[in-house]
Amino acid sequence: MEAIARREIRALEDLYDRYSALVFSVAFRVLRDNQLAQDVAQEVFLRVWRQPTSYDPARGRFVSWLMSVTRNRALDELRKVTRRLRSEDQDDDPVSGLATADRLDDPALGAELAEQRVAVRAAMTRLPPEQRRVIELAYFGGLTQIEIAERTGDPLGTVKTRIRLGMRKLRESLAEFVADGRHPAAQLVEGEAEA
Amino acid sequence: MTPEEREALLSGHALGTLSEPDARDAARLIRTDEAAAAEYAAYVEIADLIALSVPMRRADPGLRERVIAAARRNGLTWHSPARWRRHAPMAGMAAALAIVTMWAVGLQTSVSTLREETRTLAAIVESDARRLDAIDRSAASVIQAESLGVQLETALRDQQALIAAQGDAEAVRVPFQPTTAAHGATGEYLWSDVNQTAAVLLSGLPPLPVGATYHVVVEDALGRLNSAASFLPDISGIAQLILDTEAGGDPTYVYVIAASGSAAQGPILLQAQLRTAVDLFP
Repeated sequence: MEAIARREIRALEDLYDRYSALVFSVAFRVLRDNQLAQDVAQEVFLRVWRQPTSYDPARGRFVSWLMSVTRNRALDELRKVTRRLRSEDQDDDPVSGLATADRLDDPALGAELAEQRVAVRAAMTRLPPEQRRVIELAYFGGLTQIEIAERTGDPLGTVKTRIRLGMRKLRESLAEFVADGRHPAAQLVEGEAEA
Repeated sequence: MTPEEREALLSGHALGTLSEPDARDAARLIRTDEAAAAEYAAYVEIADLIALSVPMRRADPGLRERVIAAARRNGLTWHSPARWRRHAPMAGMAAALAIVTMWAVGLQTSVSTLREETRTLAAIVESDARRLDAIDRSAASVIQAESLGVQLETALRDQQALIAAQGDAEAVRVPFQPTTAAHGATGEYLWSDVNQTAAVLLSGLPPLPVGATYHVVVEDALGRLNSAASFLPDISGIAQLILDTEAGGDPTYVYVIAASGSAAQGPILLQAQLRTAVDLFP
């Protein structure tokens, strides 16, 4: 990020090569549209280029910030599309993402991030399907608990309980990635921030 | 509140899935309870990891070329006020002529104030430059020094852009209107056509709880909302910042909101309608 702040285009190229598949994949998971997902990915990388200081290492890991920016931008786009096309029902099978094997095992991500991906996918897979579904509808669909209840037909209390239990299990399963006693910022010094 | 209710509130808030009333309760809990804040932070990290569960896909190879080409151009695509004017209806032009005249008079009288502010900002820039020079690279680690240097250089660039924009006598200034959530906050939006710079100058911003940030959100003519900046004011509640002009083309409104998380969602403190004033500025 420091090299990007110095306007070194090579740094942006490296960043793109490392994270583009991940950024595009998250955008595609939210939008289910190739062109829209590419538009979002382009916006995300250009934002990084133009506003490198919008990432604050003290507030967390770079990849987490990048995923958050991507998800928020994709959800904004999804809401625009949904407003235009009220009849769209973009995800009747939210678990299909996990059921689908990776089409790409991207070596550019690096070993650490690849390891995390494996762990996260495994943790998500271990969740009971109904808990996984509500979490994915919330995260990738940007739906509130009330909207999830309306969509699934489940009582609101059930939705809340499923999200709570699902998040608790994820926290337990992924404790090694978030509770190692180090500040998240320390984890990016070795590599992520050097792009 | 039972432990289960508390856990549901914090994990749901981290996932961004709470309704507005529940989100307010969660924000209040996080603000007032250190343990809750720590638990919430842990859940935010979990939520951030969920993105990694997506199946990987490769984007169109041409996307890389487009991104790099756009970065090389580094051009501003935000529609300038002049461009908006071309699309402004003539009837509206006539109707607001009186407003514009009054506004122009007010702008003229504030030129001396502008110059004073410019001198103040110039002093800040000089101070920043001295700080930059004063970095003791032998004492600090190279990474720490470079990081500080980059931050200062960026701050310097922003300060210079602010000076240029504020020194532009023809810059468009639109005062923010406070909402009931403003608590005394005021400010104005500034557009310098000649510098192609958009900025907001804010004061009296109330302090936020830990983890919360202010966002400047622009709304375009189609009602699309985009975050143009996120920031924390100084201890006096003052913030002067350059906006990301890529955040939204053809802006019609600008909002200053207080958000409890990274997403630009929260109560609006200040709002400014740009289109009418800016479109009609001569």
